Amino acid sequence: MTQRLRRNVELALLGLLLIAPLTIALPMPQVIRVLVVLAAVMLAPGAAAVARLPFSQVGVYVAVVIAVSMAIGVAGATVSLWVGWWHPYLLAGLLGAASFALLVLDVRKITRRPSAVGAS
Amino acid sequence: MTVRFALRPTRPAYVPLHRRDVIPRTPVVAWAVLGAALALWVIGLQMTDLDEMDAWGLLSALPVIWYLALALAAGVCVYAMVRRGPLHQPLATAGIGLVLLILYATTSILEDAPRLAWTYKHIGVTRYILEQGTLDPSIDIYQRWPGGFAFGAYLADLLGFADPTEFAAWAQLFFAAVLAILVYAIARTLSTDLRAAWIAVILFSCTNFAGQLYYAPQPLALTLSLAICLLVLSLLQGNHNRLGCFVENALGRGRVDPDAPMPTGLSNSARALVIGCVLLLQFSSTISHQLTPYITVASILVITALGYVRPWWLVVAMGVITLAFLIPNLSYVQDNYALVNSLNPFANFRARAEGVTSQHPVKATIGALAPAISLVVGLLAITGVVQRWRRGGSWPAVIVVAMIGSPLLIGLVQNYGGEAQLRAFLFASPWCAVAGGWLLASLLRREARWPGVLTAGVVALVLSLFVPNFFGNEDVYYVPGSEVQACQWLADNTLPGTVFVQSVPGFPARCSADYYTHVGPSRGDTPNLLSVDKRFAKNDFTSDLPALTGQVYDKVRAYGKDSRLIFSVSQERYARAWGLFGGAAGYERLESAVRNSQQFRLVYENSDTRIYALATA
Repeated sequence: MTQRLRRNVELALLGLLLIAPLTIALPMPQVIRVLVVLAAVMLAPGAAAVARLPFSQVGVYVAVVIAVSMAIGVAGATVSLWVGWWHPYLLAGLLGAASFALLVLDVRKITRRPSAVGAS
Repeated sequence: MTVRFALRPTRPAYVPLHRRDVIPRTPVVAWAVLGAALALWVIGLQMTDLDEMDAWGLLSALPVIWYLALALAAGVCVYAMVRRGPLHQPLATAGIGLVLLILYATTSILEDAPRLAWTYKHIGVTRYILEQGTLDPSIDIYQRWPGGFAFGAYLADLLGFADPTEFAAWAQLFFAAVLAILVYAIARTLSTDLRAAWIAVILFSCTNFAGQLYYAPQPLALTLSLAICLLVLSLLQGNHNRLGCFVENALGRGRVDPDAPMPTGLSNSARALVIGCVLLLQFSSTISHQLTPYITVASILVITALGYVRPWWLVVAMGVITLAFLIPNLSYVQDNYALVNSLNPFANFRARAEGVTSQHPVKATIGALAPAISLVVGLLAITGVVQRWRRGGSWPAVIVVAMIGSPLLIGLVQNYGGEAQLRAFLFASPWCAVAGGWLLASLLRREARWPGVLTAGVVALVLSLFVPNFFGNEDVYYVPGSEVQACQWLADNTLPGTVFVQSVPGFPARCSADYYTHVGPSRGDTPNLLSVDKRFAKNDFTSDLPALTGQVYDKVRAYGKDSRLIFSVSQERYARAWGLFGGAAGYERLESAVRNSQQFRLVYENSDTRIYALATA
C-alpha cells in the first residue's frame, strides 16, 4: 500500500468526519445520513488508531481499520453505559475529534516524510 | 531492531510469471454479464411472492431468473479467478460483491421485518439500552455481556433509527461483507497468491451455513477475533521455535515456498501500538460474547507455543482480560448455565435438543445438506494444507491447521446449548476456506484447462448445497412485520409481569424494551406450551379436546392469571416443520380448540397473529 494512497484515504476520511455531523444536524434524506455516518463510524476511528502502522497490502489495511473501528465503538459504548454516561452523540463527537486530530497528524507526517510510517 | 526471520524462506529474487499471467485482456463481456446478473436479480426480487413459500422455503418462491442471476454472478467470479492474464481485481470484487448481495440481501429486501425469531431477543436488549440508557445485569446474560447491544444502540442513535428493527435485517449483509474482507486479508497474509485469496473469499461466503450472520453478538465477536488473528499474523509474527520447527519438519521440508509473504519489520513503538490494538479487540470481544474470546485465546496460544507470535506474553495478557471479565460473572454463569457440560468431547459435539416428533421430510433433507457442506469444506481444507505443505509452505500450513483445530477445543468442556458443532465450524470455516483457496489457486497455475473446470465445479457444488440450506428454511425463519406489530401491541397493552406464552417457538416475543417483564420465572426465553413437557406436542387434537384444552389452560395459567397465549403464522410454520401436534393441520386444530373454548378469549387479531387471554381471569 503506497503512502500516497494512504494519505488520500486519510484525507477522504477527514472529509467524512466533517460531513457526518452535518448529515445528523441538517434535515437530509436518511439514506445519506446512514451511509455517511456508518462509513465514518466504521472507518475513521480505526484508521486513526492504526495511522502509525505499516501495511503492505490494502486489503489488510481495510480489514484492520474496520475491525478496530468496531472495537473502539463497542468499547466506548459499553464503558459509557457502565459508568452511567450514555450520550451517543457526545461519545461520537469525542471519538470523531480524536480521530480527526490523529489523521491530520498522520497526513502531515506522510506529506513531509513519505516513507516513515511504522517501519523499523 | 532484530528481524527474527532468519529461518524463514524468503521470496526468491526472481519469481517466474505464471503462464496464466501473460495475456492481459479487458473482460468486457464479463462486465456485461455481471450487469445482466444484477438486472435479473432485481427483476427476480420483484417477481417473488413470499406467500408461495412451502416446505422448501424460499426455494419454491424464487423465480428461475433469480437462480440465473446467482449463477451468472458466480460464473463471473470463477471467470475472474481462472482467466488467463493478471487477476482482474475490480471484476473479482464486483463479482463477489454481487454474489454476497444476492445471497445475503435477498431476504432483507423481500421481507418486511428482520428474519429469525431469535433476532428479536437481541433487538429487545438494544431497545432497552436505547430507552433506559443503562444496563441491569440482574435481568439476563445479555446485560452482562452487553458489547454488541451497546454498539447496536450507539449506531441506532447515530443513524437516526428509533428502533433497531428498522436496520437489523441488513446485519447479515454487513457481516458477510466485513468477514469476506477479513478472510481476504488473512489469505493475503499467508500467501502472496492473489487468486488463492479471492477463491478463499468465495468459498467462505458460499459455505457459511452456521446461520450466525444476523443481528447478534456472535458475528461481531467473530469479526473481532479474525481481526486479532490478522494483526498477529501480519504484524506480530515471529519465527518458529523448537517446537514449531519440529512440527514443520515432521512431514519433511526443504523446498522454498514460492508464495511465502515477506515479513513486515516494525519499530518498537509500532509494535506496541499493534499489541494495544490486539488487546482492545480482545477486550471488545470479551464484553460482547461468552464463547469467542476463549476460542481466540486458544488459537493464539497454540501458534504462540509454536513460536509464531512475538511477544509470547501477548496471549497471557489476552487471557487475563478474558478471565478478569469472567470472574465477576462466574457465579451467574454457574447458577444459570453450566461452565462445563461434560469432559467427553464426543458427547458435547453430539449434544442436540431431543425432539419428540418427526421433522418434516423436506426439512430433514435440507438439514442433511449442512454436514455435506462441512464435508466438502473439510476435504478442500485437508487437501489444501497437505498440498501447501508439500510445496514448502510449512509454516502457513501449520498455522492454518492450528486455527482450524483450536475451535474444536470448545467440545472438550462445552456443548454450548447443543451448538458446539456449529460454533466449531463457524470459527474453523475462514481457515478452511483459506486452505481451499491455496489448493485451487495452485492447480490453476497449470497450463491445462481442467483446473479451471474443477474450480467452477467446486463453486457450483458448494452453491448448490448452500443455497437450499440457506433459503430452504425461510418459511420457518420468516417473521412477518405484522407479528412484530403484534408483539409491540402486547408490550403496550399489558402490565409488567404479564407473561407472553407462545403456542410453539417462532414468535418475536422479546421485541420490546420491557421484554424482561414478560418472560417466565427463569427470565430465560419466552415460554411456550412445550417448555415444561415436550411430549405435549404428540397430541394432534383430533380427540379428547376438552381435556387437552384444559391442559393448555393449565399451562398458560401456571405463568399467572394475566398471561397471554399467542398463535401466529410463523409458529404454525414451525409446528409444520417439526411435526408438532401432527403438523400444520394439528396446529390449526389446537388453535381452533382454544378459540372455541370458554376458557380463553381473543384479545387481539391481525393478519398473522391471534392473542388470547384467560377468560376466567
